[in-house]
Amino acid sequence: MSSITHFLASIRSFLPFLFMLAGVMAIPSQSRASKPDSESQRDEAFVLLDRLRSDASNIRMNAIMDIAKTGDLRMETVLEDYRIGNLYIYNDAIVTGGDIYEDDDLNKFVPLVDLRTRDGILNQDGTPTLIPTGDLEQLSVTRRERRLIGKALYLLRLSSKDPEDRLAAAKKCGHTNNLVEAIGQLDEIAQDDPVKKIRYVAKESALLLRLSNPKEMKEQQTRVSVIVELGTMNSIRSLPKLETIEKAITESESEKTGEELEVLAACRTAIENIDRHQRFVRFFENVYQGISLGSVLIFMALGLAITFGLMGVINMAHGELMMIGAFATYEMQLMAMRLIDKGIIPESAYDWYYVAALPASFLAAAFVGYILELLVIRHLYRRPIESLLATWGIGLILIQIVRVHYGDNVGVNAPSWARGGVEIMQDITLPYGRTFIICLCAVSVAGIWLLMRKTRIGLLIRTTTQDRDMANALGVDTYRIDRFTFALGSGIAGLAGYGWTLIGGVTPDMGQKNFIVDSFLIVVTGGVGEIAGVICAGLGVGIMTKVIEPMEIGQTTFGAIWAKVIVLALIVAFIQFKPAGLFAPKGRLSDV
Amino acid sequence: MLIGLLVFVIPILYILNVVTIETVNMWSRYMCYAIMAIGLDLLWGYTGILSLCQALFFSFGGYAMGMYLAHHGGPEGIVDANGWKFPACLYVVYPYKVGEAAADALVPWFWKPFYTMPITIILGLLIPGLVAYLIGFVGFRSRVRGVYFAILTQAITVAVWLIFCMNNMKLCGTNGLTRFDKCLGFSISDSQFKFVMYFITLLCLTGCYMFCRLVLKSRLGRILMAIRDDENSLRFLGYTTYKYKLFAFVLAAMLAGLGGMLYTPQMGILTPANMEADKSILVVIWVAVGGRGTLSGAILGALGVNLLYNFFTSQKDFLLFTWQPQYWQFVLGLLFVVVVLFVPGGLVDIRNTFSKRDKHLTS
Repeated sequence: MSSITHFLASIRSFLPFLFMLAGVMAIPSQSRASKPDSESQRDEAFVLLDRLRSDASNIRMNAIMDIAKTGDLRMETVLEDYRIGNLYIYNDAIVTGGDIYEDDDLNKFVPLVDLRTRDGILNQDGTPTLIPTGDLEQLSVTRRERRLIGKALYLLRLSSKDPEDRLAAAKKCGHTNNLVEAIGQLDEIAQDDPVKKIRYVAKESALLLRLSNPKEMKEQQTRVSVIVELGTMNSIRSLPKLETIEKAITESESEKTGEELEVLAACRTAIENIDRHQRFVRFFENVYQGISLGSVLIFMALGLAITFGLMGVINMAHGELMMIGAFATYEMQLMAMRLIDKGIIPESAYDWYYVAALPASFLAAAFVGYILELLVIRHLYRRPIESLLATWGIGLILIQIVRVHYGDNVGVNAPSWARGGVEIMQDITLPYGRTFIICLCAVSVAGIWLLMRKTRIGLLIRTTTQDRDMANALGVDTYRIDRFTFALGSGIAGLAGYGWTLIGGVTPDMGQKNFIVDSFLIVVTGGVGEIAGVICAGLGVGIMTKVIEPMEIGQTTFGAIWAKVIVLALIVAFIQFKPAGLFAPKGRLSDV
Repeated sequence: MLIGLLVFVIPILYILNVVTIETVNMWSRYMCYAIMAIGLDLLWGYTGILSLCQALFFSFGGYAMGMYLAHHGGPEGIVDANGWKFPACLYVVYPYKVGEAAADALVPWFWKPFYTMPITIILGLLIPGLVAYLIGFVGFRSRVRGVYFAILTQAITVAVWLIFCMNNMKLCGTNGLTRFDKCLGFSISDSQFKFVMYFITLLCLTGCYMFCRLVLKSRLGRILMAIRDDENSLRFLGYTTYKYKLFAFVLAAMLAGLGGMLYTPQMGILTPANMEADKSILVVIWVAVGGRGTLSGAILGALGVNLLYNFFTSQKDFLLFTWQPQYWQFVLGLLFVVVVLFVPGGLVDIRNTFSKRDKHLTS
């Protein structure tokens, strides 16, 4: 008897061990399923796809959301295909279709493509499987699902590797109502994402979603705390929502509860904060635009000041010289495209056309200026009125030549590095194009100053300006100097045109339309021949124009036209007090 | 004067059916321009002030008459809330505010005075005059000189042009004033009317010419010429020159306004394009081509250049090339350059240009 008891006892002591063994053997199979093994996870999304075949709409919709939550980026194209109705059932699997193929009888066929490999599905004999369009069993998709897919795609893109995509997705998730599924992921991104901007946007979106869906709020969070947080974040995106909440509470008929009053107060403070931030941002942007506009004006006015100051010639064709610079840039662009087409230079070098266009526009305009001087201007020194008329006529001729050659509207594309901008502070973006123009202007002004002050030819120019006869008597070839100076002034105008292509349209009459009057006014305001005056006046006019533009009086904003008119009136008033300009030549001449 | 003969020849040719009424109309319109040119010649050729805003004053006069014609023309039946008949061209482009119905639109207050002819004529002369007075006051008192003043006037032209182009100013924006039918009871497109207008314009032109001659012969005229020659000396002699300059400026503006008023019924449409900056410079070139410093030169230049324009823009082939109307710009530009460089005295003075005698001073 005791041997059996012993035997049973030993078995009993083995049992837990046996259980453990069974358990251990069972665990690997489970972990194989839950281990983050790429193989199985990759297929998880595809497995979910199968549910799309269901007839019940809500199963399909849940499936879409689940697919989006997997974060599997290949699903992006799959969902897109589904949305446009390009998913079909073939041999009990879901496939998608490639480009429609038409045979000689104009029957349409769709070649089937495997979802995972994106290869064409082949028949037994190796030919692509073509199914007539009529015989396809399409995976049905209704309008509701299509809308849902739109939202789901944003959720999906939150997992993208590309920061641009993530940023856009984070923003969109905040806008779409009821995309509460995104909140979890947004919270994660707000903590972990390497890019600061994306963390900010994700946090903002999460807060916005919580505001619309109070059930999703974390503990300790109330509407008030969310609103206060949005306010401290200076979240411009939340402004419309906050305003609606405020309006709803103030307009509600019923007695307001204590909590509602708190929310109202929080809303108001938050709106104030955000408004203030927004106004600051806009102001800064306007000022920056004004500076870049002013830079172009300075370019133009500098050239004019030089020619007028030196030679007493009013050059109404200055605008046309700018136009020549702009068209030279265009011609460079065309040439680059032609060279790329012929295969002489690689496609990636296309953007470099802009670098080549810099000297090209300067030289083209300078050359035209040189010729002009040689032929016409030479006879017009010291006769401003005659030169005004003659150069106007030349301007007309130049415009006409360009118009006949190029037509009336020409598109100059900015190189890719000039698009986009850099964000220096929250919400304030400085566009690269405008920054480039400002830098170019600064460099050119510095260059001219150096030329005038430090080089021999600058010395000669200054001499000739001060006292032409004496310079002549000392052996300076004033005619050569004049030609050089005129060419220089024209070249600068060409650079203005070159810069302008980044921020405005290029037409044959752009010189007349936009700039000639402004540049003259700047020259007059700044004081003829004074570089410092021209710079101050140019910047001043540019900034004032751009800052007045969005200002409001009563109900209406000023807009570009009234801004221009006001600036004009201000200049006229200014001339009343200082007829010779900001930096007037000192002296007792009665003839200014 | 050759021109004097020509302008009488034209109507005779018309009566004899050698030329159409359109030609008569064309000459008449160019005579309106000539009136404007006389004003500028007085201002520039004799007083030495270059003004680049004559087309602006021309347009003011034109708009005045145009508003009168718009009141009385167009389809009947569009009436605003106050019972005023709505000018058709305004009705079409009326800038309604958000939420405003067509029934709420009112004829603007500044249109109303132009309902009667006498007031229109008075205002058509007064408004350019007033504006000129303001501009001149601002410009001449601060002794803005020559070229700066010219640029100032051009800037003002651009500003006003921008304003007139805007729709919310209720001046029919870029469409301009159109849909004229009747003037003082006569139909505008009637040949009789055009013929009569020709004579009226001729009369006005002669009148202006005589008037300016009178002014120039008087002491006032001498002072103006002295201002052109040497303003500083004149000031040191005790004359307040700016008053005289102001007078000349206002007179020139009024003449331009008169030209505009006569122009509108004959043209049938008036848009802000008539006051663009290049139109003002065109006036200067007419005077320069014709001969500044001589009134008949102004008329000659105005008529001559415009006839040239007409000729060149209606050619299909010229000198072996196929010609497009836009090529006129080439001719115009060349005209500018050539006249300024080689023929500063203008056509009237062309004898002197080719002679060996000392050229007499006109600049």
